Amino acid sequence: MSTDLKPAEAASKSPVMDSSLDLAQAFMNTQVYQEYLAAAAAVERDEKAQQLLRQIEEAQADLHAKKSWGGITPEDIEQLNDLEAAMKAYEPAGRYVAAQEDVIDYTKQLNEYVSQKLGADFARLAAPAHSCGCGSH
Amino acid sequence: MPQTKTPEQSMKLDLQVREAADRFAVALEQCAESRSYREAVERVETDAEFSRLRRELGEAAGQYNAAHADGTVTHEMISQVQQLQQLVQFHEVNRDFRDAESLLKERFAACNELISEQIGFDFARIAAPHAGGCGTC
Repeated sequence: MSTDLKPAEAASKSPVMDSSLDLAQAFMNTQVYQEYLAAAAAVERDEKAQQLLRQIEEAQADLHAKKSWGGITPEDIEQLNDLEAAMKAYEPAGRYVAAQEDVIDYTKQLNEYVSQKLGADFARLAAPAHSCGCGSH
Repeated sequence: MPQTKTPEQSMKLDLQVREAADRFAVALEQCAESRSYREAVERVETDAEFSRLRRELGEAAGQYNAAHADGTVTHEMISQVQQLQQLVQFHEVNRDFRDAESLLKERFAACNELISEQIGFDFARIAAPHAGGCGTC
């Protein structure tokens, strides 16, 4: 998979925009990101891995919904544990989840690093307001 | 979403990424929006009239809270707090600060959008999952 900058964004707009693109490019060159892309591509070619990941996602969403009204049963937990075990045992799915965890961890570290330099949390300030989708507002 | 890793499990940022992040932070610090924001913060901290109004609001709110606790709140107290709140809220210094903050957030959001377009996921949302939310979810 190509990790070159997207042509539409390659044009220089300002020093800040240039440095944003530089940072994105440096991020895309990392082994962590390359492994994430490779693992994602492998999952795209693998129906069983996709099915496992979908089932886990559904079970997690179901658990999350039940958590809000206290309806979680031991069977729900057991079902999720079984699915997670099956996913870890199936290499393409397990690899994808591990790569995803690594890329998330790396993203958080990068934000911490930038935020330390700025003296303000970049991600918190950059995220759009009121988009949590919790339904309470 | 995967569990957050402990610091011991965390990986270190690549040199190329750290260098790009350094340049990014410097560019952000030097952009017009950051300069305006720093100036607005300084005015909030140093403007004599605005400081006086904030101090008076703090004192009036303190008196109101004390009166509320022993059931002696008067209409004058409520009116004074409301009047001072409005004076602080709509003071030019406060308005300038909110405008500067808003423009800085827009700049950060534009950078995040650019980075996110390149890497294929929302950098800010992954780095700070609850950013932009309502705080209740």
